[in-house]
Amino acid sequence: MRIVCIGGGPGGLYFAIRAKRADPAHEITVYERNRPDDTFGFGVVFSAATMRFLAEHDPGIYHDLMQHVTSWDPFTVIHHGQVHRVSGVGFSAIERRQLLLVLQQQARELSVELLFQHEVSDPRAHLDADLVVGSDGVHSTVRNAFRQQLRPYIEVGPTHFSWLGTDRPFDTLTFFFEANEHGRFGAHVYPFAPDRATFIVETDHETYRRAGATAFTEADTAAYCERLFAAQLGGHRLLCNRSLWQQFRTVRCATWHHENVVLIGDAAHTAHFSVGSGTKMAMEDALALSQALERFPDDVRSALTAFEQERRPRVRHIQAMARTSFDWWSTFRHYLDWPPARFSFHFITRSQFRWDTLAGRDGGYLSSIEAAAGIDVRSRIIAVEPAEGDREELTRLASCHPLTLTRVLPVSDQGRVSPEDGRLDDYADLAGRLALGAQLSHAGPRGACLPRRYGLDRPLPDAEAWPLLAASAIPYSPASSVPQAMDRSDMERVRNDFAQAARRAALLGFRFLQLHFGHGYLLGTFISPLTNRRRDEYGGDILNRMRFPLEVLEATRAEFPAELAVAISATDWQVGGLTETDMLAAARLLRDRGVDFVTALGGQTTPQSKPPYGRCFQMLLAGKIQNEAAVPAIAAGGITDLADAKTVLLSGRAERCLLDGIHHT
Amino acid sequence: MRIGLGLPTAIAGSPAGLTLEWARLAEAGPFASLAVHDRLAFDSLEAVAALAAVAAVTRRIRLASLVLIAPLRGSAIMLAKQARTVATLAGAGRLTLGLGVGPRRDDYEASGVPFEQRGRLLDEQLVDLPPLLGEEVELLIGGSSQPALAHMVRVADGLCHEGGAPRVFHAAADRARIAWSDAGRPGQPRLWGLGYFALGPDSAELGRQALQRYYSFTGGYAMRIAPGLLTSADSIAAYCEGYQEAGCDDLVLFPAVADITQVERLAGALQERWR
Repeated sequence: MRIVCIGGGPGGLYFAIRAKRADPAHEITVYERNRPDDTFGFGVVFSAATMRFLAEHDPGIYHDLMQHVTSWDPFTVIHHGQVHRVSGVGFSAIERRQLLLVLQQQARELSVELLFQHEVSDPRAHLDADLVVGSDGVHSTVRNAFRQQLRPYIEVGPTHFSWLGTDRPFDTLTFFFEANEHGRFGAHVYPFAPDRATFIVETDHETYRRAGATAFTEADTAAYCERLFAAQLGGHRLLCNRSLWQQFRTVRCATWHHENVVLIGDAAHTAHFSVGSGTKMAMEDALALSQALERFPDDVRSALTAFEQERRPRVRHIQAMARTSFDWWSTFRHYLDWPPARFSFHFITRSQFRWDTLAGRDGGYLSSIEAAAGIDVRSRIIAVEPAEGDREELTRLASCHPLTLTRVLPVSDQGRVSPEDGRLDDYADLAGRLALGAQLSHAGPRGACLPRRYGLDRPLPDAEAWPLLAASAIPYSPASSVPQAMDRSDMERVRNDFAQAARRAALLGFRFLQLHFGHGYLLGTFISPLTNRRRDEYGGDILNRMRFPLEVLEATRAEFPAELAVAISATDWQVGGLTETDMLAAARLLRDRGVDFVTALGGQTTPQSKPPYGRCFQMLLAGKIQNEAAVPAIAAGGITDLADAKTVLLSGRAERCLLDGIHHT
Repeated sequence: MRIGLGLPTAIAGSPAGLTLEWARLAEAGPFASLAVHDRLAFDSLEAVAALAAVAAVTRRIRLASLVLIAPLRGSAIMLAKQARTVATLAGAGRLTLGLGVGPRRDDYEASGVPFEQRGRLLDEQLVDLPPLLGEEVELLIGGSSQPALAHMVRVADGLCHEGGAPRVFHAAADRARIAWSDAGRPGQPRLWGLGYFALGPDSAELGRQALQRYYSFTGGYAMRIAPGLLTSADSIAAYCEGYQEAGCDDLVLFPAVADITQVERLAGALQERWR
């Protein structure tokens, strides 16, 4: 088979090596526009998992690389001069040039043809080869030449970064955070040799503009950053290497292959460098592609299909992780004034780490975080009664938690989910003597259903059903009956029902009230653009969509003097749903009308929502509400034990959290 | 945790009489269920027809499809009709119906159903299916992806995991429980897991080859699943223990070798090391 690789970076070279080794009859040519020892990009970071992957699949290359690899176990966060070190993370780095030299050497030994300083301006000229591999990076010409078939989607990130180096010795992966008169900056420092480290400076758009960096030359950038990080550099220099300011480009493609052309690595997909997975993904792609060719030696197209099917879910996972990490880097200005301990824990838990995953790595670090926070996590956990009601369990929960919420109770008969819903008065004898909060809701278009032990949203037989209400006449699911779009008199009635229920709750002795405005229930249908198509002053932008929910809140607030929370679906977990800007606007509006807390639920706005269920899966939403909209947040979703509660509360993402009653073993 | 036994219906070259003999033996053994896989473009028995036949020769044991590739089976009404027929023939609420989209493009190509539409087709089937199915049939959704969990909490009684190391199952089980609770479903989802075994001299290598053939549509998965083949009483006991700790309700062990001695070997291994 004749194979052409366009781009001789780690992905292209590694693929050439694997393919040639599997079948020496392949004729493989790698075109690279740079010289063999050009050094763009300084160092490359590998996680411990990537090194294991290499050791397992390629002991030879692993051995060669290990001669040049720097490994370190902890990483360091330096914020306001205070140092936090977290052990047990495990990263390795190698100078990119060394990695390329090792791979080039291997390729040569296998008689792969390597053509350097050879720019391929039109990949189509190579289509007569059996396979064309586009391993030519984020600005891929191969991707561009086949953009109509591959349909790339490139998202330009909101932050600006410059990729520098330094000769200051560092002994761990290190993150610095600094402020000056222009704004706030962070630096990612990856040492790859005793006296060399990659030094990436990242900042938000406003700071970038105020610093005048739009007009900076490389030398200006280095000089500016040397002044900014003078204390940390201790007289050492910053080194330039194409160090212009850029915005990170996240590349995605509808497909990675077309006929006999395939993209691998950054050409096909990128993930923000803060998760350090770019080179790893490229090399894993290379391995998967060569294996697919072995399985389908006579059928390139099947091989490419199998390759993409194998790699897509893994890449998607890393891109999702990178997105949350990138989001942190886009918003860290909100957290820079925090106490250093909380800041570092917030940083560390931005993506995949949680309390329990860190516990096995560095218990000492966690103890220091707990001591510095000085809050009693247990006193901030809110339990919730089981979904179909259980007085015994409710009593038990209330005896071991400072606050326990009832299951969701309807404010009126019309607002019931099913005929088996509870009532406020069911708790008349308990509310006064236990620390209970009530959850009130109107089911709206999700009403008149069978109890949920039969599944969600299964309509009652017509004879037993009642008429439904919603912001717009959109049935909740294809099986649901069509609700009536609310008119003014419906609104007044529902508002009064909420107010009356709140008064009753106060009278019964409930200490806390949560209004459920999420999950596609009546008030939620106003908030989400997916369910609100109104053309009057209750539909349209977020101010209008919040108008009726705020009227209900105001009427309720007037009747309930104790703590009051409003729960919203802070995201619909669905394309076309509530945006982050709208979520923050909604939270501010609720704050201004006197809520004590906003609870960050998510999804269920329609049956199509697909929440990324997992531990603490909605805590980042709570964090944004609490810190960017400045209203105390209650986190919810996948908070299953004390460790999860610590993750959420000690990272400053929420004031309270709702405990998920998953009752496992 | 109950232990079930997979039927040898999806092992290429399985002898004709083996499935029913297997079923009779399992009925008399320590197994709680008998289960089938579903494949179209492969040398296998059709899953629903096989379950119907097994229903006829057993009385006690639960019958499970883990899982049917629902989008290949037409409308919800046809699917429900088939399921209720098997459930009626089997009696005593014995049927567990696992439904999923399956990961294999070749099965879709063979049947002319567009692979890219599989999610939408399952969505549509699941809107109509629950009322048609009745309360007797236990409904599971296959897989542990976001769409699978979303389907599970809406319509099903639980989840059938795609198989893998106990810690992989554990993570998926946690996500399933979280999804269940987040959606306001009472109680817990039923959690089914699966594994593959090949016991006895020479069986390990034969089994690995069979698994690789079965999963050849995706090399990476085959390479991960084949080393997970359980080939000793010890590894079976450890696997069972891991699944039990993760909160698995039913673990079904599928054979990788189509030989009747596998049933007794597994029963023996379980008795020796598990309970």
